[in-house]
Order: sequence, then C-alpha cells, then structure tokens
Amino acid sequence: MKRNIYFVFALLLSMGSISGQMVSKGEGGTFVLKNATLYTITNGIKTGDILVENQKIKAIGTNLALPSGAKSIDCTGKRIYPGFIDGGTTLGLAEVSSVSVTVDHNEIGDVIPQMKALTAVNPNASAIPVTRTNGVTTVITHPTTGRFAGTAALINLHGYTPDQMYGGFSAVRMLFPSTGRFGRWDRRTDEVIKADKEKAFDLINEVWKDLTLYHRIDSVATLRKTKLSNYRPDLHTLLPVFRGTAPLLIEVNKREDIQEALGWVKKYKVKAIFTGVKEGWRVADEIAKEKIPCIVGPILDNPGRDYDAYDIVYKNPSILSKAGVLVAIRTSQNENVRNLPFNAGFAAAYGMGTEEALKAITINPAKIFGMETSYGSLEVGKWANLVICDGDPFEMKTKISHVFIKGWSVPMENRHTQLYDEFLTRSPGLEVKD
Amino acid sequence: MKKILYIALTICMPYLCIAQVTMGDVLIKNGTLLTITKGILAETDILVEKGKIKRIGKNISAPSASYKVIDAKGMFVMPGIIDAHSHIGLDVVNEATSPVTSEVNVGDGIDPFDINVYQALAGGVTVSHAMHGSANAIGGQCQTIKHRYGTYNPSDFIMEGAPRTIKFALGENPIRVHGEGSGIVPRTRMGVEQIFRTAFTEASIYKQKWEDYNTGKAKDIPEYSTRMEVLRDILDGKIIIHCHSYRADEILMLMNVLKDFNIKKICFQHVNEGFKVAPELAAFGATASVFADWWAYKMEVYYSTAYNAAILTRNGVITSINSDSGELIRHLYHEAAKTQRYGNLTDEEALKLITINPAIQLGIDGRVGSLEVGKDGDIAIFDKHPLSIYAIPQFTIVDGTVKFDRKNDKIDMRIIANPDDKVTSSFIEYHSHDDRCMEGVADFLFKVHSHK
Amino acid sequence: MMYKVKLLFIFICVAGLSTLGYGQMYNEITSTVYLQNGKVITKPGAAPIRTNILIKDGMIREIGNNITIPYDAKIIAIDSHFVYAGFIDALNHTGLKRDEPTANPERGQGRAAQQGPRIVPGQATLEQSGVTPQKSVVKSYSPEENSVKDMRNQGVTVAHVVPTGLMLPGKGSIISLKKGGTTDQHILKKDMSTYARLAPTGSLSPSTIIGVMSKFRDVYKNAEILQKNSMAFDMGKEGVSRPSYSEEYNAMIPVVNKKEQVFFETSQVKDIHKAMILQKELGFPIVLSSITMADGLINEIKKLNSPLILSLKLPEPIKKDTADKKKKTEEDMLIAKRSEDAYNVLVGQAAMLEKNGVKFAISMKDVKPADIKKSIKTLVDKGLSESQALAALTTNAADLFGMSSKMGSVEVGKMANLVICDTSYFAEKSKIKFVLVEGQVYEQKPAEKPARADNKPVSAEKGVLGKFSYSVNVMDNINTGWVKIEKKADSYKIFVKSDDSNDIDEDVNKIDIKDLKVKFELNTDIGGSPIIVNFDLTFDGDNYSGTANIGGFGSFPISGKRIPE
Repeated sequence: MKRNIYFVFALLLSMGSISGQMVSKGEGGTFVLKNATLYTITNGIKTGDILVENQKIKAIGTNLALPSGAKSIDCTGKRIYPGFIDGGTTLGLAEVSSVSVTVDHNEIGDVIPQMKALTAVNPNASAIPVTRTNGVTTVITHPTTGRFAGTAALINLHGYTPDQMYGGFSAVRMLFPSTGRFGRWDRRTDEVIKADKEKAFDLINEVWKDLTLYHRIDSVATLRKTKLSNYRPDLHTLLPVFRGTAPLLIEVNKREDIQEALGWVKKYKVKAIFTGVKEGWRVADEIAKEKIPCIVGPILDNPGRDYDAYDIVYKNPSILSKAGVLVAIRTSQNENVRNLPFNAGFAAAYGMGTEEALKAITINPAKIFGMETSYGSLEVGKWANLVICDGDPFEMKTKISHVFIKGWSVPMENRHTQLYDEFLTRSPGLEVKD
Repeated sequence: MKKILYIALTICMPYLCIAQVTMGDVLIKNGTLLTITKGILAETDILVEKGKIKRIGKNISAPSASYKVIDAKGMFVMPGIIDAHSHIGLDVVNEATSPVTSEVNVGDGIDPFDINVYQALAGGVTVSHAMHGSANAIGGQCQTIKHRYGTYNPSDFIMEGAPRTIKFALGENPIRVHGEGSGIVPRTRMGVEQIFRTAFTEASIYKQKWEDYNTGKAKDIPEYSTRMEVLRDILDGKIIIHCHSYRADEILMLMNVLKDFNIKKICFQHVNEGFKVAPELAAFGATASVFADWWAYKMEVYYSTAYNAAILTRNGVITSINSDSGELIRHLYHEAAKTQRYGNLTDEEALKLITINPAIQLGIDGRVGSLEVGKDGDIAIFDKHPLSIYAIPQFTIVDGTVKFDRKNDKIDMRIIANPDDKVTSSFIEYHSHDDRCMEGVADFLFKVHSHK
Repeated sequence: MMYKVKLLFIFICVAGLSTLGYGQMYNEITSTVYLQNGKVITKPGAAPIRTNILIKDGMIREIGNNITIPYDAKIIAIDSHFVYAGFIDALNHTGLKRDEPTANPERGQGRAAQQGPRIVPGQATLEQSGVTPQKSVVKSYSPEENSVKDMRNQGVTVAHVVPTGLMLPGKGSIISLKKGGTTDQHILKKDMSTYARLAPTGSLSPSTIIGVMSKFRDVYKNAEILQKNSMAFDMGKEGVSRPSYSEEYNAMIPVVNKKEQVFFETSQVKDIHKAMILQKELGFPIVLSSITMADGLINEIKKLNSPLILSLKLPEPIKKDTADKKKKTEEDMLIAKRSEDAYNVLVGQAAMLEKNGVKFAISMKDVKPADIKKSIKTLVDKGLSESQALAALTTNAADLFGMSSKMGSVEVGKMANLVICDTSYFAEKSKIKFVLVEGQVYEQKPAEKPARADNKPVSAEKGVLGKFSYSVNVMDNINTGWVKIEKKADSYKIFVKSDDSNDIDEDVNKIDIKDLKVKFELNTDIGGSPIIVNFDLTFDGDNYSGTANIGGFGSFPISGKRIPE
C-alpha cells in the first residue's frame, strides 16, 4: 500500500507531460448544407438542404436560398444525420485513466449526489475531439463511485467552458445495490454478497428516512420563507428526486437486481431511468410494464453469465425495444466513446435494425432526458448538431466529412489524425544525421 | 414457447460431445471466397478432407456422404481469424515474481473449459496466441492454441508444430511490479534494458558451460536451469519474441539489444507508438501486433493513434490487429475494419491484419491464415462481408470440424459445470477491459481485489 | 451464579484428568485375542464365512472352527457381526501435530522474514519455494493426536501419512494407527514416498501453477546432475570438483532413480494433465493422488498404467429446492439440472473408474471422519460395486504400498487389522463395533459423541468462538476470507485465511478477548513484505464489525458473520 503512495507521487511528477488536446478552432456562422440525403429520424429520409443559423436548424427544404454571408457546403451524395448522443460516459472527467490525479469521476463518499460532473469537465480533454469526429456530438458524462455517485450532466462536445458545453439536462446517478460480481476475480461468497447488499439497502433506507424529515422541514421553511436550520448538500440535491420532480439515473444490471429496483422505484414513486441494464432482456416485459426508459450498454460486452448465449448482450437493446421499452445506447467509455456508432451497429445487426438503432443514439436519449425539442432529430428549431458522411455511419468504411455542434462546424482533427499526418511518411525517415 | 425450448434443452442438450482432436471432412459450396493471398473467388467451393484444404474450385462434389456440406451461397468464406495476442484458454497468466521468468510456460496451464474460447469461435477466431502476462521484462513462454473447444484434454488445444514463442515486456508494467513492487531493478526503462543485456549474457555463459561439458572440456555437469535453457534457445533463434511495448524509445532500445545479441525474430505487441518508428521496425524486420483503437488508459499509451496499423502497414511493417481481451476477440473482424475508417486500408489489407499477418508473426503462415490447398481447414463463414458492421459469423470450422454453427448455437455451451453453480450468484457485472496482461499481479502485490 | 461457574470449573478439571487415567497406566493384560463366531469377509468379493479368528502378537494366527482357545486369550464374542480387513487410507495428514512449527514452510519463513530483511519474491530459497522433499513426516506425527483416534474409529487401521507443505512437502510413511507408544513403534514403512502438489506459494516464486511445474523440472534435473557429479567425485575422476551438497536435491535421488513413487496430488482433469505432463517429460514413477474427476482423461490414465488414488471428498449433496416452484424460471431449472449432472459426475467417478477397469485406492484427506462411511455409501449408490469399494479400502491400497503380503485381507499370517460391523458395512444403518489394529482392540462405545464439538460452549465468550467470514474494505479494494477463534484449555488460538491465499495465517499474538470484544495482532506478509495487522472486533449475535489496522497504513472497516460448521 505504501507502494501505491509512491506510485501516485511518481505520477504527480510526470504530470507535466500530460496536456489537453490542441486542435484548430471551430467555425461558426450561417451554413447551408446543400442537396443531401437527410436522415431525419422523426420524419423519414428525404433529399434536401438544411439551413443552419444562430446555432439552430433554421430551415429544412429543397433549394433553400443562401442568406448573405452564409457558407454553402455541397452535400451531393452525402447523408446528414442528427448528432449522436451517448447516454453514459465519463468523457471529460479523466485524461489518463490509470493516473489517478487526472481522474475526476470518483469522489470520496457513499452519499454524494451534490458532486457535479459538469464542474470537473475539461473542455480540452484530448478524447473530446477524438469522439466528436466520429459523429458523437453529445454525451452524458457521469460520476462513477458511491451509492449516490453524484450528478451526471448532458454536454455537447464543443465549447471552451463547461457552461458553454452544458446540454440542459442533469440528474443524480445512483448505483443500485448489486448482487453481481465485479469481475472474474471477485470471489466473495454468496453470504458476503448478500450482506453487502443488505448493508447498501440499509444506507438507502436511512437516506430516505432523512429525506422524509428534510423534505418536511424544507417545505415548511419555504412556505414561511425562513432559512433552513441546517443545510445538508446531499439531501438538498436529492429533494427533487424524493419529490418525484427530477429523474434518477439508476445503474442496475443483473436480473434479480433489476426486479428489486423495479419494486423500489414503485414503492418510492421515483422517476427512474435505468442504466446499464445488461440483463434487461431477461425481464424486458417487467421493465416495459413499469414504463421505465433504459440506457443500455456497452453493447460490445461479454454475457454476464458463463451459460448465456454468446450474443445476448448484442441482442439486449433489440429485445428491450421490442418489448416496448424506450431504449438508448451508451458506451460507458471515456477515451473510446467514439465507438458509440459501432455499439449501435451491433445492436442493429443483432435484431434491432438500423432505424431503431439510430433512434437509440439520437431521438430516444433526447426523449429520455426530456430534451426532445432540442436534440435527436433533423427538425427545424433544434440545435444544429449534425453529422455529414458518405454512407451508413455504422459502417467502419464510411467517412465523416463534417460535424456540427450547436451550429459550429468543428475541426475534423484530433490527436489521432494529427499523429497520422505527421508520421505516415516520417521525415527524416531512416537516415541518421551526424 | 420459450418454456418448451428450455425443456427441450434440458433433455437433449449434449453440451458438446467429448471430442479428441478430430480432423473433419467438410464441403462448403458456392461461397464468395476471401482467400487473402489469392484474391476473391466468387461462387466457389472449398473441400476440406481430414482437416486439410484439399481442393478449391467450382462444382466440387462431396467424395462421400460422410462429408458435412454447407451451402454458403451468398455468404463470405474466409480463413479462420487468428489473434496474435490473447489470454483466453489459460488458467494462469502471470508468474510475476521475477523480472525474468522464461522458465514458465503458459502451455502448462491451458484451460480447455474457458467459455471465452467458444465466444471467440462465435467471432470466427480459430487460432489464438495464448500469452504470458506483461509483469516481467522477460516473461514466460506462450502457446499458440487451436480453438478445439469441446475437449477435456488441455493438450488438444496445443497447435502441434507451431514455433515456440515467449513474452517480453517493456515500460510501465515491469517497472511497476518489480521496481515499485519489490524494490529491485527495473524501476526505469534504463533498468529494463539492463535486464535483457544481463539475461542474454548469462545465457551465453550458460550455453558455453554446457558446450564445454558436452565436448569433454569440462568434467562437472553444470547446474540445470530451465530459465537459461529457454534464453539460450532465444539466442539460437529457436523462439520468436513477442514483446509487450508502447513507447518508441523502448522499442528502439530492444531492437538495439537484439542487434547486439544477433537475435532476429521479434514481433512487437501493442506497440502503440510503433507508428513513430515504423521505418526502423521495417528495416529491422520486426513485425507489429496492435490494438485497433485502444489508447489513453495509461500514460504510455497517451500519445497514440488509431491510425497506427495503417501507418505501420504503409511503411512496410507486417502488422496484425489483436484483442488481448476476451471481449474484443469476439469481433476482431470489426476491429480490423476500423483501419478502413482510420487510414483507408483496402479490404484485403484490412483482412490480412487478422489472418495471414498474425500467422506470419506466429510462424504458422504455412499452415493457416489463407484459403489455400494444403493448409489447415480453419474457416470462418459470414453472412455479409466480414468488414461490414452487419456481418454475423455463421460457421466456424477448425480442422474441418464445425465448432460453431449459429443456427445450432445453444444456451449454456459450458463443457463442465460445478455442482454448486447457482443462478443467483453467477452474474458478472462487467468484464474489465483492462488488458489481462497484468492479471494476477494485483493479487500478488496487494492481496486484495480491484473492486472499483 | 458464582456457584455455577465454580461447578463448571471443577467439571472441566475432572473431565480433563480422566482422559489420562487407567488405560495408559498399565500394560495390556494379554496380546492374544480370540474372535468368536464372526461373519468374515476374507477379501473383496468373497462371501461371508462364519468362523473364528485367533490373534497373537498382532498377527492373525488361525482362522477356523476348530481352534483351541489359548488360556490367555481375551475372548470377544462377535456373533453374526461382519469382519473385514482393516481399511487403509492411501494418503492423508492423519496424526500430524497441529502446532508443528514447520508444518508450512512459507509460514515458517514468514516469521523469520519479520525479523530479517524482506524477501524478494524471485529470490526465494528452495525451502521458501515449498521444496522440502527431505522432510520426513515421521517427526511431525504423534499417535496421540485426535485425528488418529477419529480415523481409527472409522475403521482405518493403516494410513499413508504425508507431511503438509507446498509443492514438495516431503516424504510419506506408512503408519499403523495404534494408540500409545512412540511413533517409531508404529511405522510400517518409513519415508517410502515423495509427496508432490501443484501448490504455489502465493507471493514468492513460484507463485503460480506454471511456476511450480517449471520449478519441479529444475529440481528434478538438478537432482539427476547432483547424483552424477557426486558419483564422479566419489570415483575420484580427474578434473572433477566437489559438488555442492543440497539436502533437497539429495532427497529427490530415489525418485530420479525410479525407486520411489511420487504421490502427486491432483484433483480434476486440468491438474491431472499437468502431473502427467511432468511424468511424461521426466519419467518418474507416479501415483496420481486425490483425484476428484478424471473424466476426459481416462484413456490417457489407462495408458499411463500407474496406480491411482481417488479422493473421498465429495461435493455437498444438492439440496432439494423446496422453494415455490412457480417462482422458478426455466433458466433456474436449466442451471439446476446442469449442477445436478455435475454432482452426479463427481460422485460417479469411482463407478466410472471401475467400469474402465482402473484400479484405485482411496484417500480420505480433507474428509471429515464422520462422513467417511456416508461417502463410501454414496459411491456405491452411484454404481461402484461393493467388492470394488472394499478393494479400494483394503487390497488395492496394500498392493499400492507393496504390502499385500502383510495386510489388506483377513488371512493367516497377516497383521490383525480388522473392522467389525454389526451388519454389512455397506448397509444403510451399519455400525462399526470394533476396530483392531495389529491385535489391539478398540471397542466403539455407542454414546461416544465428541462432547466439545457438538455441545455449545457455555461461557460468556460463546459468541466469539467459531468460524466467521470477514470482509475488509481497503480504499475501495475488498478483501474477504475467514477468521477462526478457538479455545483450547485456557488459551485462545486464532486463524485467519484470506480468499486470495491458500495459506492459513496463524501467527497471531496479543489475543485479548473480553466478553464480546476481541483484539489480536496478526503477523503476515504482503508480497513478501512482513506486515502487522491489528484487529479490533465487536461481536453481536452471529455478526461482528470493527476495524483492521494494517501496518500503519490506517484503519479499515471490517465485518463478517458466523459461518455455520
């Protein structure tokens, strides 16, 4: 353990070499995207133009006039999709995952809903340009540890301050007590697992008991316009969840845990969004019955049990969706959130179909966050989050030529492309100069 | 309906019948053959007899009724996928007790019951390089395995005749385990270099001692050391080095060491900064086995690019894409396809990354890695082009024996179960994407589980 | 109240004294025993014969219906009882002293390491690596250990006793499970076997099974070399230097010369395979020992044509789930079926071996003595013939140890090792009435229930005695295992085992138990570095919680609950 401390210290010393990404500036203004095939998501596929003005989709139509000062982009033979939304990542909250001092998604404490992910988002994280150039314009970035782990935020992947990036939705994230194992090497006995779970429930019950009291005091204090006798940041953050006015992101994966969570949500009338939901396929009907939306993923993952069908995780979104659950897809990634379209692609291939899988990374997450008037489809009035590409965006061969985030045409470069440009043909090559 | 299915399963499930190494006969009709080395053959048949590809051509008919016939019309037939870096099918990954552990051999610890092997087959992978971990500068010997899932006998997994290989490791992992963990050299990349130089020099002395004894020059029988025996075989060119590496400087360092000891056979593994020294790698004749897009999970992979495979390929380095993971190994065809987004590789170039190139790196390209007459009947059949996201593996064949058939895939493909297996306790929340390279090391160092 | 405590104290004293009493103060009256009118099963497969047996000086002298009963014979009427040859346990740790200081080499070293410099994992000595083939089990054996009595009560008269330890713990001996006297008096064959295990150290080299295999090769080959060099040196060959002596390599020379069998402890196919790889490479005589599952390798085992020892350790019977059937999913049923099949495979191993014509003896290592008969019965219920079961317990083991002329069957001239049952041993409710070891008669008293194990402890500390799980949270890393608190006479003993390690830590000091508060100090090591952990636990019913202070790094929460025995 002492070693750990030395290790951290050594890493601190090496921190000087970690720096955020340096790419060119985004391009703002008014754009007309001409003659594209528009995958609107909500209104089918059509051919036409899009006018981007004041960061929003101003108009969709054919032969749109070019306003003065507007830039025209010829999109003949190209497709336009709404920007993809990843329903669960730690993007911006960690630079190098093994270097703890660069990791900001794991605050100390069990009940820390007041810890705001948005606060710690680094707008210059090197993974951000890497992600958006694959068409992912918007993500949920969330804290990862603690029973009430903190407050997740929806962010757009362009901007110089967290506030510029903020996407208008945030919610407390809860890790529901789990009876699963945390990897092959978690060798806790069944009894220990059960005891851990019971302990976790004791904590939740205690928090809820405290909330009952805090809610009463707060309500009276508000009525009387007096100050609270004592401020509790954790309870204060949870009050809207307790009162059913704010949603709660509940991470839950195992069948038995999902069933338990369904009961808990019902009992306390919590406005729940389930996340992870790895074994949702086992209880899809029960989830559908309670009308709880699910953010599912990662899709590229092994089955949870040795005896499960090898492809069941690929099929999970499809099974949930067919049962009537509103499904979004997430990568649960940091540096490789860029694989979101491929996670959706596997879901598409294994039963969901391209159209539904596209919805799962566009309009569905927008709906789940109550942001469907701003995100998730090509419709007039929404933020101009757009992806322009030369084919099916799930296919690896497809090239993305432009990405717009809130009306800004972002540079199509990142660390990976920059290193490619520098090193494809290295100069000097082999020769050694004396 | 579902209930009937389950009941049927409980009654008639043979799990997998206990197979020895079976050399099967199979005829695949009318597929689009992605031969890798001989172009694409439309609507062509391929006949496998006693585990070997016997004929490729049109209108081949089965020599007898005992041949399994697969109608591959509209499907894509390619050689079985090869993973040059994996840890599936192993009980043990790391003997992390010393900076040099060439004496251990993961081939002694094969786990034929690992469900990951079946999951790999379901992704078209027929051969993998079961590697020792990366805790030590000179790690253990590795084993090239064939995914003959269904056997109880660990020996059946061993690909007979495959060249011997050994794991080396540079950078953070050996530094963390030994320098920071045990307080011994190496604690820096300087120290790592000296581990190699000392080990090889000691091995040459060992070799001399035995030669002196064998030629009668010396009368005492020298002490025997498996560790030194293996190092001597590396000096003698009998073992291919597969070296876990990330940074350009350490890659150059090892090539310099190898030059000094006249060692030629090396494949750099991971080699995230290989792109920076691609000309040097090509000039040395070293090969590279890389991740499609992993980066930034630790300091030494922070300056990485997903274009690595493309840059290496364009600079003439024989390159493969590996998994190092029980997850990625299930879709290496997809990992290979990423080089088309990141670097515009052609279909053929991309497919080579998971077939003939890893075969070359493992020294088994005479046996597998392409569809050619005389090669092993290791074949993967996809419903769509394997580089498409929509492609789903339909059949995977090892030695002419069908090991995966999507239409007949069953729930519960475990070979053995435990009496105390319970539904309630078997779920794994998530499979860590950390490279299994360091598996066992956390336990070893801290006697506690990582439990994030 | 005070009175009761006093009474209890007196009771303990009296009970303690009585065990040292009459029986051991005097010699036996006679060494001649006459067994009258038993049903004798002379060897496996033989039909019971109604006859009498005369025993003198530990040997069977006469069997028949016309024996003249010597005047000095102790006559035991065993009307209609079944008489079998005494059972032979083919591999066990029976009789090993519990407080043996070098029982586990790593532990011994762990202690040394606390005083000296820390051990670099890769620079472990042979002893630290678990290579102690020179160690004789005889030194660690005591005929007075409870385990000797417990096994004998189950009809085990002779055991192949092996030392505890890691990869090469030492040499085993064949020992008569007699009471009294010195160990030497009971040894039938001393240091006749080499015991090997696929047991890594956990933190020092070799820390993995593949490391153990590699170490085994090195040790074996260097033993060969030592022998050759020594011979050359002894012959005074020119240019030869004095080979440096190694106790460990020297002890392996009989194995290298194929004169001594290696009893290789392997459990399931993967382990059996590993032992077979080594055997094939090096060519030593092997006895595959403690096998629990040989499925899938049976052809290779047949080809190997070496003796085999099956483990009697069987999985817990699967509890019939009485839960509401409606609540069970198809999946639950599927997995339950699979588990049941797996159970049947394991308990069907003996029958499988018999079907394949593979002869085997039985090891009762890790089997609770009280479960032995039940387990044998299970093997028979799952298809093993009674005659093969008996052979495994008697003749096969005698053959394996090259002692079939002396034991394994009820014949004149053999050692008077006998098991006498009220009915057939394999009958559901049979009871062992007498066990004879070399003519010494041990009568089974029906009400001989071990008072201490089953009776609940009566004092206030009742709550803290027993085995408890633990789970300690060290900066988000969870470590689990168990803690066992025992009381012997007036002193406590505490054992701690981490799930991460194969070893039981028992180097516990400063034990302080007051009512429901338990404090103690554990000396252990992490990655070879010694470390002291201070426990401070408070018990409440079957649960406890508290802190574990780890070597000055800080205090971490720990909790656990009772693990029912």
